[in-house]
Amino acid sequence: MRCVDVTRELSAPTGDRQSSALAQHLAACPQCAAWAARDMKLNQLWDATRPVEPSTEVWNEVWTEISARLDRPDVLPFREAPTIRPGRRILMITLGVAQAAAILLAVFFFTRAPGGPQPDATVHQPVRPVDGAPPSSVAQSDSDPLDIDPDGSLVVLRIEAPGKVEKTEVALNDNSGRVDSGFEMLNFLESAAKQ
Amino acid sequence: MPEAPTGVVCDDETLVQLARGGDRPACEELFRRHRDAAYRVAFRMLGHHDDALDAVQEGFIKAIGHLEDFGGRSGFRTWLLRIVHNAAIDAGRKRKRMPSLGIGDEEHNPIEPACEDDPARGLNRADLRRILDGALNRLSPKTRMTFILFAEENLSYKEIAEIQDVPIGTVMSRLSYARHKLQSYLDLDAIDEL
Repeated sequence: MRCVDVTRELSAPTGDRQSSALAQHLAACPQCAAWAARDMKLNQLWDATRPVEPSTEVWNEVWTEISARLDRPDVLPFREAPTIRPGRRILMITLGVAQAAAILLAVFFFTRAPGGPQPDATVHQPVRPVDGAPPSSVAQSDSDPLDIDPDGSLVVLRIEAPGKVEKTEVALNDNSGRVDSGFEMLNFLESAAKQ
Repeated sequence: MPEAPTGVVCDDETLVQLARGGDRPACEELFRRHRDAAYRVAFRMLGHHDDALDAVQEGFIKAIGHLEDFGGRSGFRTWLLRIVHNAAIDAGRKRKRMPSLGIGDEEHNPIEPACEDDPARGLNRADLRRILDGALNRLSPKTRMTFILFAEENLSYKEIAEIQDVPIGTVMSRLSYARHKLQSYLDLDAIDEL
């Protein structure tokens, strides 16, 4: 065992202080033995100068001051335990930003898509004939009058012959399964963001 | 085990949970349990009773006010001593009334006599403390605190490493360095009886 190892072991014990090698070295090395004796005196000096702890009265005064400081919201508010931990808050903020980015991207690609809405485009609603004619055969013209049936349906009136009026219901809310995927994604993201 | 003011025996973790919810008696019990350890560390660091009390007070105010930051990885005492340790270092930097015991690097502090001519004769406790404080003051604050936490509170290397946010190896190196330096600053051979 080297001298440096001995003093290191004496300074910051690792549990080998009582090892036979350490004892043998101290017995054979006056320099290390003197170092160990001074180290023991240092410990004794430390023990002899331990601070006298304050009295209960002093501590009561200190606590009174601490308690008063804690009651002053301008100095240090006494905060309740947070309902949302910082890590969770960061996660929620990140998810919110990601959702917002996804919405923006969806709107961007939807408006840029070939089938997407154009500035002058009008939404064509499918027309379902009341009298059984297929929708494709119904040619709605600008001159055809519109009317509202007693049941509230919007119909196109077409005079086929004198005394014969064909009513074609306009299904405003029926997209016949042609809901745009961009809108579907938008609605989904908005719903997710609200949750 | 000490009892909380409510009469229920609680460990520190339970008291911390109560204190987080604003339970003032739980805060007081935490203060009562750990005030002496905090004072001993602060006093050794600052060498002055009033300064030590101020550091303890500031440390507890910060600790109680930021209990949500206590993660529970270490014990409450270790966490508290870390705060008091920082408060003591801050207090030492601001302190002006004891220039001979100011906190600073040992390279920049005035070197006091290692010991008096006849240190073993007629030295009372205050004299011994003054001599030891003079030697401690020549250590850097970090090295001094490492030695204080080990010698005064018998903290483990791991606890000291957590308080000072350094590796365990650094703690052991600082302890070895501190003992060598203190031996060189103090004329321990001349002190016969303690």
